[in-house]
Amino acid sequence: MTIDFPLCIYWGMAGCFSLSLILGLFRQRGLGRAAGIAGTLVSGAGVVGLMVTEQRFPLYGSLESIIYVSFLLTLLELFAAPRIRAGVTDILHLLTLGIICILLVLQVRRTMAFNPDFFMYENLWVNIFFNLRLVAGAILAWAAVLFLGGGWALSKSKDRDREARDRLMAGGRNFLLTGIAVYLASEWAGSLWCLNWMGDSWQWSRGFFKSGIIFLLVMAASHLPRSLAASDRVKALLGACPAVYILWMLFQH
Amino acid sequence: MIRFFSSLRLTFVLLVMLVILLWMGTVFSLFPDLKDGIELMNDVLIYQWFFTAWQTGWILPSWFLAICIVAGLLFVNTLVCSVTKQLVTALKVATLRRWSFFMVHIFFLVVLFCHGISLITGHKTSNIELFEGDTHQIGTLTVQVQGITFSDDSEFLKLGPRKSRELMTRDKFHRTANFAELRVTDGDTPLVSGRVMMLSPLKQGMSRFTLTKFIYGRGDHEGEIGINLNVTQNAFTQLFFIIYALMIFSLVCFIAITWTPQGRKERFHEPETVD
Repeated sequence: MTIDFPLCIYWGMAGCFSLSLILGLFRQRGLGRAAGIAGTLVSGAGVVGLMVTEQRFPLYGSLESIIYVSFLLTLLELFAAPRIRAGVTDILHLLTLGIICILLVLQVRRTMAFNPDFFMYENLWVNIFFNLRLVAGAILAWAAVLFLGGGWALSKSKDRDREARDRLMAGGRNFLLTGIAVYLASEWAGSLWCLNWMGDSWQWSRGFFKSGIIFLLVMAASHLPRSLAASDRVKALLGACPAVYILWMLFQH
Repeated sequence: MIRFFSSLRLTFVLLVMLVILLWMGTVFSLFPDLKDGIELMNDVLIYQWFFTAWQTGWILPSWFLAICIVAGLLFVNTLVCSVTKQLVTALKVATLRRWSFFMVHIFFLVVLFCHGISLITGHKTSNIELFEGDTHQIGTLTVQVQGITFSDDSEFLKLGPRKSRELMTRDKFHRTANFAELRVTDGDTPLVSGRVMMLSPLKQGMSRFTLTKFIYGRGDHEGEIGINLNVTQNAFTQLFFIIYALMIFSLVCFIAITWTPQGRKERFHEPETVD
């Protein structure tokens, strides 16, 4: 009997992250964090395993996207969370786990295998395009966590939460822009790939329209008129839109 | 008028309109007829497609026209806002943050310009099916296929795109082992000759001869392996990639400069901060 590596990683992640979410909801901070770190290690093992077995970076396909995005998102949560009081970081932790668990549930009825090989995966620009798109997805998802934490979980709280709220909203803005910078780098490489493959840097196609929407959503969230920008909740929702869309795009493609 | 064209409200409305228009494009591509129509947009320069498409239907040309108008307005909006607000503010109190903010927008304008201009200038002929010994005339240029080498198993060429995609793995399809030898002349003057592979086009000045796929011959060419060639020529392609890279770099600089809240207000919709 052979071990189905991708399936083992999936269920390992599902077990660790859902356990961490449940423990977090019951305010078992220490155990919850430990389960979350275990989930990060499992998804990290999945990324390494994919690179060893498939001889390439994580690029494409719902399962490997979930594994890679979850790994990066939990790393961001561990190392890039603003230094604020424990109650607020717990909210960020739960939001992060919530996103990952939704993605894992959506994957249940899908193929539990890495994306099949393709000869173009040997090309540098193809690797940069697909890999950075996943990295951008994780960064935009982290921006969404910060925005939702600042705009929704804390916006009606007391004055003592004001500083935390401002820091989360500022962090959300920073990661939203960082996410789009990485995404644009991915698109730049993708345009070069397209130029070498089709002779033109732009193709009119479903994939290109979806790619364009991500950029426009981030632009829209960064150019809010005064009336909309006055509300943290509206800013948070619009700042989270690119993450929702890119994750949907990565997993529904 | 300047106040209207430099307003942030207009920017937001135009961006939302573009999102809706591109989303409509994704919906259109779910319908086979419209999907085919969208694919035709890639075969020639866009204005050539536009006038032909008007004669067969109104949906795609109207949709495309709406994209052009909204993108054009966004260009004007960005230009007016950059010059009348961002530049003025940067000149008044010159800080790294303000100049980097201005530069991001200027590079964005140039990218938008290059993107727009590359859609309507130059030359594009797509899906030229050629077999060994064939020649194809494009204006004064003659493309001749001097030879085609296909070393891998050609069975997957007979399959549909999805099936052949599954079989074209790195083990089974060796990109550099499958190629065509092209010779391009302008009248009687030889321009360029060489090997063209998938992802490795033959280049001559601003012209690119790109092998998009190998094809399995039917009819007169039954059993032969042929190539699908796209011929494109554009003066703005290089500039587009350079400015695009500079725009990303300027954005990274802007993010780094404004990372900490000090020196900027706690609002992430930047244009209002420079009012």
